Amino acid sequence: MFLTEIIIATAVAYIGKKIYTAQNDHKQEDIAKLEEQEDIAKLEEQKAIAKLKEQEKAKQELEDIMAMFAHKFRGPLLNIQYNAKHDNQKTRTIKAVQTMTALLDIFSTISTDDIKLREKISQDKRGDRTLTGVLAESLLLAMPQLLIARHIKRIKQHYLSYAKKTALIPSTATWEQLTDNYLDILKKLQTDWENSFTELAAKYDNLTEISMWIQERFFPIQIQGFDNNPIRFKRYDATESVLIIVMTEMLLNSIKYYNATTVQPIIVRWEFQQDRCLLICENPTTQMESDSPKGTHKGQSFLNTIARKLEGNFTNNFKQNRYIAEFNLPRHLLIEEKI
Amino acid sequence: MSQFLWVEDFGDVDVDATATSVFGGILANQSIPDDEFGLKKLLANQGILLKLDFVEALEFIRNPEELLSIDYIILDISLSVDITKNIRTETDEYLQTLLQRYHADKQTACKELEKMAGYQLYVELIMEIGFPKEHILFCSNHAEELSSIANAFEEAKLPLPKIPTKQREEDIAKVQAWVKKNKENPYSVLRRGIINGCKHLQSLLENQQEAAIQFGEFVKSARTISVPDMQDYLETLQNILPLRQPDNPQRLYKLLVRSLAHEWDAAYPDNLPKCDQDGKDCFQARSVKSTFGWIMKHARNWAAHSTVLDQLTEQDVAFLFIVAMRAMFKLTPTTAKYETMLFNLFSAEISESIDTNEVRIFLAETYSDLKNKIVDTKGVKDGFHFSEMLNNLQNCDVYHDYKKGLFQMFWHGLSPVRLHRKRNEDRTLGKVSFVTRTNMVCTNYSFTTHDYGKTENFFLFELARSIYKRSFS
Repeated sequence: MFLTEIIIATAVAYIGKKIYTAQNDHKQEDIAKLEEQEDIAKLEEQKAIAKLKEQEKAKQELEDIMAMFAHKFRGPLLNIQYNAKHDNQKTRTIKAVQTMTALLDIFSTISTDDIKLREKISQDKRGDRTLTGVLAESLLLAMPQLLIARHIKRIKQHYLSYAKKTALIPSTATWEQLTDNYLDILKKLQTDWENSFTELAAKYDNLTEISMWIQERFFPIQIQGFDNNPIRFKRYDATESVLIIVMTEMLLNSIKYYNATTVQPIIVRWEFQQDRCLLICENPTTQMESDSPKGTHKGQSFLNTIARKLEGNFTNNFKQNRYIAEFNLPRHLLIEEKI
Repeated sequence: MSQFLWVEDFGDVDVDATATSVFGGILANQSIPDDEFGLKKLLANQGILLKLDFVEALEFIRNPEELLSIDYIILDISLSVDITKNIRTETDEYLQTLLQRYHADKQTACKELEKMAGYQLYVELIMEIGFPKEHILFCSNHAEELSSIANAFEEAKLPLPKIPTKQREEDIAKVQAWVKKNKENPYSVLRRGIINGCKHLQSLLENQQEAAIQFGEFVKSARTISVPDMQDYLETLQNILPLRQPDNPQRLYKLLVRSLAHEWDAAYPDNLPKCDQDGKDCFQARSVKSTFGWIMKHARNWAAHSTVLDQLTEQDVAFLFIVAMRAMFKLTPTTAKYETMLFNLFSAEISESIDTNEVRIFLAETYSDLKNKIVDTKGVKDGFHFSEMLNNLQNCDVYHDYKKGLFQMFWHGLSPVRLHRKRNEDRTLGKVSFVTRTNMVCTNYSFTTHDYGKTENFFLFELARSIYKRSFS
């Protein structure tokens, strides 16, 4: 009986151990499986996160393009609005509409096909348009965006400086005082400048007149490397549209963050460096100006996007009270390579 | 009307269109400027403070004195962060800590904070300051802004408030309805009027010291009414009503009226200095002061010893506040801003017809009704003046609308009853008509004519126009 019990007990123990071992083996297998599954899940998760980030980036890019699209349309639209109100300037209105059409075309290419974009630019190397013309056009588009009433804050330093310089307000007045105590003066300046520039834009499109108007109220502009520049392209075609977008955006930044307590010029420079073309915009600024929020920052990220699409690069630096923005793109896109 | 803080970064959107979307319901027929600074000025006149970026708004809400000046807040979601603004050191320290939480690099931190700025202000308001969340409305410019803020609320385990946009028509209607409802909320209007009134009078005391106090004229004893006493009194009054409306505000209204009238325990309108016989202006001014004094004296006694003022409305409290301040302080004859604000509580009832000469001031009727009640009730002491009769009736716990009685005291105080020797003489006195009951002895009474400030068209007339319907209907 005793032996039987021992045998049974041993058998039970043996079977138990077997079961335990089997269970244990199963468990280990399960754990391994689970670990494998976990790894797969983690990988899937990482993939999903990466995909999500990619989608976010693409969404952001699209948003930037849309914002820029709206931004760039505003200039010609304001022109059309002004001309409609004043019942004149048919030629200017048509020109504004053509600019808008060209922008529409180029934005649709920018947002869809990088290769096609580069091809379009690359094929647009003959015509009567020059960089100087693009600069004039860019100023004509940039200025109205800053001169409208709702963007007073974006060029506040210019209003303040001009009002002081012309003794409209005391030389010690601050921006807060200008908006609180001298609001009528500020409003009048804004309206006068907006109307005066729109009138100018309706009459002239040459750089000299525009620069003079800007110098009287804002700052001098020093233009380098634009005269006798070999780059040519057709009116309202890909190159002009892209360069207008880039130049307008760079000029807007220079004007917004300009240190209006100086009389130093804004320098707009075109350079050729080996296989690159460089557009440089340089202006005096201060930490205070640079920290002041005057926009959505979408312009800069858009410039990055477009530079990437053109296989170029966009950088901006704040060095020794100067803000330097540089946009470069492959030379072969703009100039016929000599073989 | 209630006051608003509107934190809005217009960015690229139209200033006038956005303002119309939010405040169109109350800015109707006004030309809205297309620049934010012009708009700021226009809105300030409407009791709406506009702050254009995060730092400006943060500086405002972290200043308790400033925050006390508003009742409701409308927040934009995305706001620029202008770190170049001149702000108080303590706000700046807080801002620097906040930016650090977003990113080590200041510019990146600003960009990150911009997207969450409205949420950050909301959290600051409800968690740190205890501002009631029902008094805050989020309003976005674009539906795209919503996802980031929804995530922030989810992460903070806070319930996501409803966020209408300023573009969809149905949302615009909701926003405007929210603004209108709260702008006219009687509790808020009353509270705002009292706070602004107290602030106005505190500043008057600061500038004019004892010369601003009139209350001393009512006090019999040699007790002087000091500037610090009055400052304390005003400080107490403005803190009685909390920003969040309680379920049963009547309790607080009674407490407020008790505090408001407390000082009248030792005050007696009969103690007012007498006028010279020729001093018509003095007589008129004394009549107004005495009327206001009696209203407050009775309000004090009734609030302290009875329940007749237990169920006060916002109109009742506003009336007593206006009357008390006019009695206790030397104010100009023009209507003060806080008084105009409180008169809005009567706006639906303001009598335009009092402007004409045809309006009936029911002096004889209200007088004879009261007299009848006294004659009909055993044990009630008769009196000659309306306020005296009303008080005697109240002392005997006779049922009557004593709150309305306080309003009627205004008219009877300025047009006091007088006895006539001849019957039917002079039943219509100047601009005041009255009705009589034919079987009454009231033909022996008539009432002194008064134009209730119509000639000057200042405060007194505004008060009369505002309370006319409450007094007689």
